[in-house]
Amino acid sequence: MATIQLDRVSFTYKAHGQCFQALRDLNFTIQDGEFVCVLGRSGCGKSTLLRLLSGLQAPSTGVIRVDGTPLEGPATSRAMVFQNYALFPWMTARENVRFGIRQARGNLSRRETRELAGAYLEKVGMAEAADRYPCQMSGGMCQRVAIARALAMDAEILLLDEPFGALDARSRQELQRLLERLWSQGEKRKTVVFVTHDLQEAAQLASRILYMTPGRVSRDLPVDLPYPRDALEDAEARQLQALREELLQLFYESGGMEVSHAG
Amino acid sequence: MRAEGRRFLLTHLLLGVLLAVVLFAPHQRTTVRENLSLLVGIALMEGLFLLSLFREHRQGGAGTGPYDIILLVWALMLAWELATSVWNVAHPVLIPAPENVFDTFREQWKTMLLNIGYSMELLLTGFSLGLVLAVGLGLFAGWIPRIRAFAYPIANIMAPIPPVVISPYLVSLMPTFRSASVAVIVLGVFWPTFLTTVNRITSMEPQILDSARMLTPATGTMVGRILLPYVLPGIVSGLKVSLTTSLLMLNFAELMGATHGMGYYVQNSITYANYAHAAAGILVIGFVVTVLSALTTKLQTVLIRWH
Repeated sequence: MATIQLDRVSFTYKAHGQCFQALRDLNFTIQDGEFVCVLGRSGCGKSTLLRLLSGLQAPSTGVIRVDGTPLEGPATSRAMVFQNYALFPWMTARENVRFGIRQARGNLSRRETRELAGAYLEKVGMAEAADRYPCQMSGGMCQRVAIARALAMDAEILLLDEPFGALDARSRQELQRLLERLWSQGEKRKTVVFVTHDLQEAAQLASRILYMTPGRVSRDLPVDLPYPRDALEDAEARQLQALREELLQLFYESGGMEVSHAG
Repeated sequence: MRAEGRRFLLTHLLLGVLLAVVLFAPHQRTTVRENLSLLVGIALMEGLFLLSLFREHRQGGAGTGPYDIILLVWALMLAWELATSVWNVAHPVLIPAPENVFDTFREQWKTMLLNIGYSMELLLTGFSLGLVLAVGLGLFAGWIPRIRAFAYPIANIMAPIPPVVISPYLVSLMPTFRSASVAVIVLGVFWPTFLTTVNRITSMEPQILDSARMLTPATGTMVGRILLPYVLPGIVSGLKVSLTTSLLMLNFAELMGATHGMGYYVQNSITYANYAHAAAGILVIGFVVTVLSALTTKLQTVLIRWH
């Protein structure tokens, strides 16, 4: 079980003597096994929200509970994937995954760790490049390894901070499909919180979309469509199209000049 | 290719002139010794030159080669030979003939080797001690804010003091000359390396730091598997500079009352006005530094495979 509960959570940045309230009084619950996309424009606080969920930063006021227990600092029960991969440059792909496993699942033997790392690298299609260093891999390959590391840790909660934002269009699409497949076909669906500013991506992946405007969640949209989403037909395809248009509308409504280019 | 042919011809023309002068020009200076050692030395340099040419060609290089360097070397040797042995216009004692300097290598090679060994022992002891201490303490000082809070200001005061200033005092303070030399080298290496280590950790890429924190490593794992490899490239790229610094420290220390070592050898030769020995000693120091420098470069590529 991994239910995340936010209770009156706010976060205020203090810099140069000025305060900036990034998150205001958030109250919502993410159910076990949901794939939640946190969608919104740059600067709306979605990455801050994810940092609070990770435990890297603590809320200024309010409490975050995971299965009823207040969250205190980072834990290996929550795995995180960053936009810039954040693999350790001095470890090969395999060593990166093994390091993640050893930290999260210390009870496994060396052999089990090695086999598990190999299995997950295989799942993300990186078995052949397992002995390369991050500097010898493309962005897409690095992100595959980062995903393998996060999944191999067997964390109940997966946090992704614009993981495909720095990739080219094709790698992004491939990795979206990969992530969706690994999540929806897993024996037990993990709870996923996925931050993005790409509404197509949100429509493609989410079972629930939280749309953020600066500081707050302004819309909470359940997405009741089967996976994979690019093979939908008839009524369901129309439903997906309607969802995209609704999201686009939300981007326009949230105002500002940049919005004219959104979507 | 034709340009390279011309250069090749030019360098060997100059070499021919040099050899002709060494072999056949009448010597006006009377103290010039047998020229065999000098000829062997020239042959070794030429061999090294040809070897580097051969290597470059095998790697399909642009054919530029070390022509300019070897031209300069031959020109300097020629000028040296002419000014001393042949015309005897240079100072007869202070500027020894190349024959005499090169003959020193033949005559004194055992003594020199012994002194090199002695110096290297001190250098490597002091250098590795200073490096290990600086990186080890720097990692913890960088990572644990409480240690950093007091260690960093102290380091900032201590680091800019040139170790040369403290070394005469150290020589008097330490029980033996050896320990004093090691202490001087440790001091020369420690502070800059310590500061580099602390600075690199405090300015660590936030994403890598976050990524590491999400894996909740214990302090030992954090230091050994994350922080150490993170600071290593910075330390290793500074290795050449700190090695040169410590060699400087060592030679300086040896000038102040050592009984062995390369610096002592040069100092002692000058005391007895044996400038051929002094010049030979200086050339040997240059050669040893070059070898150490090349070894450091090699070490960089072995130690940091991920760059």
